[in-house]
Amino acid sequence: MYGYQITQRAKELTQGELEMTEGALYPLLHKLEAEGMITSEIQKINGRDRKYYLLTDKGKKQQVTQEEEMKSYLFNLSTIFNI
Amino acid sequence: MISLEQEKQITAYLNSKKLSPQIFDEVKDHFMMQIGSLMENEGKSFQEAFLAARISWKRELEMVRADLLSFKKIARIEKQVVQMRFRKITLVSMVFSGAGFLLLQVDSDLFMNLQILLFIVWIAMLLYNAIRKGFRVSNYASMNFHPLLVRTMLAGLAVFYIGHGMTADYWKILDLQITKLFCTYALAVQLQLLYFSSKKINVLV
Repeated sequence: MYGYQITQRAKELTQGELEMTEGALYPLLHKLEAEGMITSEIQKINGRDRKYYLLTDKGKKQQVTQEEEMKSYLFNLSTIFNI
Repeated sequence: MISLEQEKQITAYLNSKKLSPQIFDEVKDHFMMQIGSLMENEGKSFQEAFLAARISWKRELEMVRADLLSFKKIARIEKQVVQMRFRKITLVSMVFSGAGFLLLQVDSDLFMNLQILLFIVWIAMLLYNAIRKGFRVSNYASMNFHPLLVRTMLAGLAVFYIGHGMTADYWKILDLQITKLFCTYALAVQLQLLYFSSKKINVLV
């Protein structure tokens, strides 16, 4: 996925609830790339360069860990509020 | 659909933000997509869509000081990336100079050879950048007043001042092991700055 596509996908999945600040995304993507979580490749689309980001194996493992942590956090939170 | 003339307007606007090529291409692509989408889906004119895009990017494209010790102004989005790079350069230099310091404790002759080698590499990289990469005197000057080096210089001055408190002999201070640690650190920083400059990666040189 490329930057703009990521912001749109986030909007679409959350039905507009999560509106990412357009420019805040790129420093984050560069950081993840530097950490080896994602990799990028440039493709020419309509005569201009477009940078696509892909998850690396390290990134995929991290994603699983983060998802589990988040699910556990949400579960604990809902347990507390349901008491 | 964005016309060539409209694309030129976007390019001119982004050029005024002095973005590095790596970020420029991404931001331009994002602008084009965002403006195109506003025009197609919301029926806005180019000028309206362009204005909306500029507003949504206002904070990230605002020109700010690159560093506390730098007078250069860069876009905030660029600053975040540059500062991240600076942290990496600092970390690598710390590890390298720390290893050099350990070597100094074990074998001072070997440490001296390492310093000579680093100096030769520095000269070679400087010449390579000057001949092959168009590194100018102004780049060299800005490298000498680079925020990362100014920080090291300030810390070095503090050490020099403290050293002077302990002994008034300047030669003795210069011969202190901590001075050698600072020199190795500064050289490691400069080598990385030269390396990134040769790769056309923005490190404020």
